[in-house]
Amino acid sequence: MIPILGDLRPPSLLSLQMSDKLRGYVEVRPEHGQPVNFLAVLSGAKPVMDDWVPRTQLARLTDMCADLGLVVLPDAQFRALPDQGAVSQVIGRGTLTTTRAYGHRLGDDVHDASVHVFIGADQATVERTLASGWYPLIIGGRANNKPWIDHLWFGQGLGYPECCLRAFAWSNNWTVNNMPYQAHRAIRTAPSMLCNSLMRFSGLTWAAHLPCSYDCPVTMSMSSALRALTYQHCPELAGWIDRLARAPYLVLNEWEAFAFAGARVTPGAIDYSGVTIAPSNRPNLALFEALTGGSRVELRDDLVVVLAADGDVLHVERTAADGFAPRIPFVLEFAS
Amino acid sequence: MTTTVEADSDLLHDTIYGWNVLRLEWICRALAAGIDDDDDEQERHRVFELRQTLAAAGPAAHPVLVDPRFGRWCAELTALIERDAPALLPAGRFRAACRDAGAFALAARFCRWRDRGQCRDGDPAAPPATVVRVRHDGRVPLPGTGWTLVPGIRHAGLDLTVSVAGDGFAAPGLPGLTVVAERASLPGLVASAGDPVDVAACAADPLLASGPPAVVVERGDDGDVLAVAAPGIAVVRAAASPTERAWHALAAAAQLRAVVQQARLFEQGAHPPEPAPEVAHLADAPQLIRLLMVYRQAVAACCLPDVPAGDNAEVQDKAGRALRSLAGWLGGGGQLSPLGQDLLSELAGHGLIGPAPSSRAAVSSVAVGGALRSGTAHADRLTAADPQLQHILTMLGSPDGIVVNTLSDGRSRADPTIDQLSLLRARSPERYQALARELVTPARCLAEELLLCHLAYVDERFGEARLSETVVFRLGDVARAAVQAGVVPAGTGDGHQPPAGRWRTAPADLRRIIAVVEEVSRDSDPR
Repeated sequence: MIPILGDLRPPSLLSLQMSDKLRGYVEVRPEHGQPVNFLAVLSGAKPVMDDWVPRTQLARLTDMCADLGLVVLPDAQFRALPDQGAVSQVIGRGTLTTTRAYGHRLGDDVHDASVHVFIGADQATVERTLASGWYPLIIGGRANNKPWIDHLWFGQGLGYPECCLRAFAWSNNWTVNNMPYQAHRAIRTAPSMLCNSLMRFSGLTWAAHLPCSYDCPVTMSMSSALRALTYQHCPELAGWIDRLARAPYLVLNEWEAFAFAGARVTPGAIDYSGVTIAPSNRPNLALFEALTGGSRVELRDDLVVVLAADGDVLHVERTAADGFAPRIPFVLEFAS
Repeated sequence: MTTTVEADSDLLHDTIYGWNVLRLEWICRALAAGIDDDDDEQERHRVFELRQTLAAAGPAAHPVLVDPRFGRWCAELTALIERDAPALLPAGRFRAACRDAGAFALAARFCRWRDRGQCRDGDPAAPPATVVRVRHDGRVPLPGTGWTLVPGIRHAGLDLTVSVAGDGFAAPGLPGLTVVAERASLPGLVASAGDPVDVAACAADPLLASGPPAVVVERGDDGDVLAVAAPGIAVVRAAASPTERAWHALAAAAQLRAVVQQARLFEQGAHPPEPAPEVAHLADAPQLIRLLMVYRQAVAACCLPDVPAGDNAEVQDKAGRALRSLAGWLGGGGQLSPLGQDLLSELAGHGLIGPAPSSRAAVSSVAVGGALRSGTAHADRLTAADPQLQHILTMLGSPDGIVVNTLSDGRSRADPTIDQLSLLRARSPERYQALARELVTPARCLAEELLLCHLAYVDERFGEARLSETVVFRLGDVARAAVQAGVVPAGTGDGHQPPAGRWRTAPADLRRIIAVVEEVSRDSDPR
């Protein structure tokens, strides 16, 4: 997973002023990925979160959470896969994401391992969520994906709105559908930054899930409470998330989204002065590079055309919709 | 080398013509049936307008309809419709594909105008202006005309209104519109980017030697080259030599012949009781053509005199990749037909691989470039020679057929077709029922028998399962349930042998079906 690249890249968390409770977590996990979710769990707004922590930090995390009345259940530990090509002989490898790791039992002595943990206030809920929160496994040369029901149970465990879980069940089929596009089509009022989860792999969003629409009232309500909470614990972090969430976005699918700074949106086009790529398992770095060199992007049905300030075409991106992970370019301009 | 069936060129052109007319008709009906809002009505209208234009042009539009690019456009739009894109994903590629109809309409109007001999400025009967969509590369090929409009990259994706003027084209909004001729070395051949093709190598092929143009050679990158192109279209590297382009053109012509011949066989009765030997070959055609193209590329990289000696490392790298790809096909696919065995022998004769093996098991561990690729698994594919069944498989996200896999130790694997069927039943019960009605008892083939078995299991379990639980089913459960419920597909008992020649890789009997695990080649829900 790449970090956030571009002019909206946020500062290091450890450099920010924050509450002691949040700092306790950030000192264990200094990345941007989960502090907002941690606050949501801490406040009771979110039943469970999952996280990866260094093996050496597990005891510290568990003690820190126990002091806050939270349960930590470890799942398994993972070691980064140095050679991504090691799966080249695996049956079903086409169904895997690009982030891969060796899995080990918790008791194994593994150097540089990270532990997959589940954190929540209620032991039974955390256990239920852990049971459904597993990654695709490669065993005996065969990729095994979890049953579809586990995706929904996992979403319930993480506290996602029922309307969004229903939309997920209905639309999240990567073979023929594009969930962000469906959330875009489902807008009835105006897209809200509180529903903008396009940067969710960075952790810097008010909504951690795929919303049923970018004006989902339940998501907006939950996100609004979380935003207020974050402003209490770390105003500077909240400000960064607001900046990322308010930016206009070019979206192609769950893998490919770009935020623009200094932007002016007109139908089917964005004039901009800066661009930031959303982290994902398969980011489109070539398009990002083209956008970085341009100042205007136009959507012409299936073509994304990047233009320089003098009007010259710098790049034309074709987007196919007849294969896996269909790409449908669209622009989202979020209201506060 | 081509496939074994040689079709008369005129017959072949007529078949393609009729086939494409029917495909367009199907597209128009499907688009008309699916209209429930006006989001993309204008775009769809261009497809309807194309149908009217072609009908009005009559025989003059023949070159447009036999151009492989028309077939490719039909195939793409059909695929989008079958994936429910008009409802699910009406923006983006679907809308653009509808707009692409404009170029064919303009081509048909030009052909009609040209044939009538009315190329005079100001002629009151001049065809109406046509709106065309400029492609990603700033060009608008006009299939069947021999011309390509070049508005330029700035206009990529935009509409351009074009009129037939004099003996050429004019765009009022773009004075000085550039128009270039597509190089036609032979009457049946188009090099869409104007690249030279070795005429001598192609002249012996009757399809290439006579018109109208039926094979198109296009430029692509390395990834495109290894991909299977549309029938009649060869995608080659921009730097390819004229000889290499010629080989690809020959392969594209062979593929086109094979596909058309298959279509004719379907029309003539779908499943002859005792297929002629060449039918079995034709069932292999897409894979064999791919094999041929990979092989030709390997030979080109290793053996051709026109490969510069100084590029040895690059050549070796390309050859290595091509051969690994070839080995992947050989090791991962099913049994090769005699034609495939011939190709393999030829490859071995060039010293590019070891001695040609006589069985798949031996092939899967063939030494390639010094590296041993050991076969840990094998995959068979239940392909569908029946258009109706093919349609069902496409609905299920597996247009290329059901891949039947067994691990080396015979263990079972998950079966996404069950997931897909279950989802279909939960999400679109009416489509599920329609699919069930399309299957017939007794089954026409093993692929259909397998689907019937799955349907029986889904039906049996669905009543007690919640929507989200229906996808946890696995083939092992399917098999047990089928046996317990007495759901034994017709004609697959002990000692059953699949109809000879119908399926390239049909499993032998139900016991094997129960023992194996299937995997749809395009996973239905791969999160």
